[in-house]
Amino acid sequence: MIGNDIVDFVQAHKDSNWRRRGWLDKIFVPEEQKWIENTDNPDHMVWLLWSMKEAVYKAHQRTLQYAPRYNPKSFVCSSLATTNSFLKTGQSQSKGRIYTAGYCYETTSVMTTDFVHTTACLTTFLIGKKVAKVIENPKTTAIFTNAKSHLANEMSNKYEFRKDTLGIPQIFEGTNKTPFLISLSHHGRFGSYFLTL
Amino acid sequence: MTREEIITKLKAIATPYVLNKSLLDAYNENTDFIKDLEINSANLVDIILDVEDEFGIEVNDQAMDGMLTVNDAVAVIQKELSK
Repeated sequence: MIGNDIVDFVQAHKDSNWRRRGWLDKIFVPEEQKWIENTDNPDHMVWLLWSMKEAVYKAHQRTLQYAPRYNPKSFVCSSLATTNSFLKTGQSQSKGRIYTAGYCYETTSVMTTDFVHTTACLTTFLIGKKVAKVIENPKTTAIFTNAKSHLANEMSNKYEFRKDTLGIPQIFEGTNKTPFLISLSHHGRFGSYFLTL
Repeated sequence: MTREEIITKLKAIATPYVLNKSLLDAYNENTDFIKDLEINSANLVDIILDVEDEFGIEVNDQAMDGMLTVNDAVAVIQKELSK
């Protein structure tokens, strides 16, 4: 239903050499690889597409409730439109669409010089209030604390956050699962969450 | 190659991608690369490419899909080596 993912460019640059032989082939379909080839900033395009696939993977896992898998090529980006010139403003926003197994997800990505952050929603799940936030602390507890105070301001402070057996974070009131959804991500210097209200 | 040899080789392959090395202390055949070793999901691709190089095999998309634990990887490697 919903998912989010953050990539810290400093951490990604340190940890991954996407130019390594075979790397792109394991993650991106030929059409996506063409986009990477034909852009001015292939580093940005690689991590933008990666964060889109990761965010949609999390959303899709929540939709179908399956155990973790590793199938980035099953999430195919069919359209991507970027607004705002990155060079002029130092920030850009991209709207994308990803298909997987007959499901369609819409993505919104914000890119700065430091990170790219993507939120994803199943298209039938676009209506309703949602909030996304990037914080400068990658610890799960810090992300939970931040999201919890967000929820306390909007709703109530009696909610608890826990991961379920599939590793999907859920919001509980006592022992009952609430209808609110939260997705977490952390990478390098940053953490992020995406919350439905 | 014995199962134990494969498990040992996999540990050596995974080690450079583990940021918190103390997590390797509990390494065993049930270890989950992402959940237990906190390996970044983008680096799982590197592990798969390293496995291909080290064992001289090809890990196709379908095999990669289920390669989340040491046990999963051993099964894929043994299947490919027996071909």
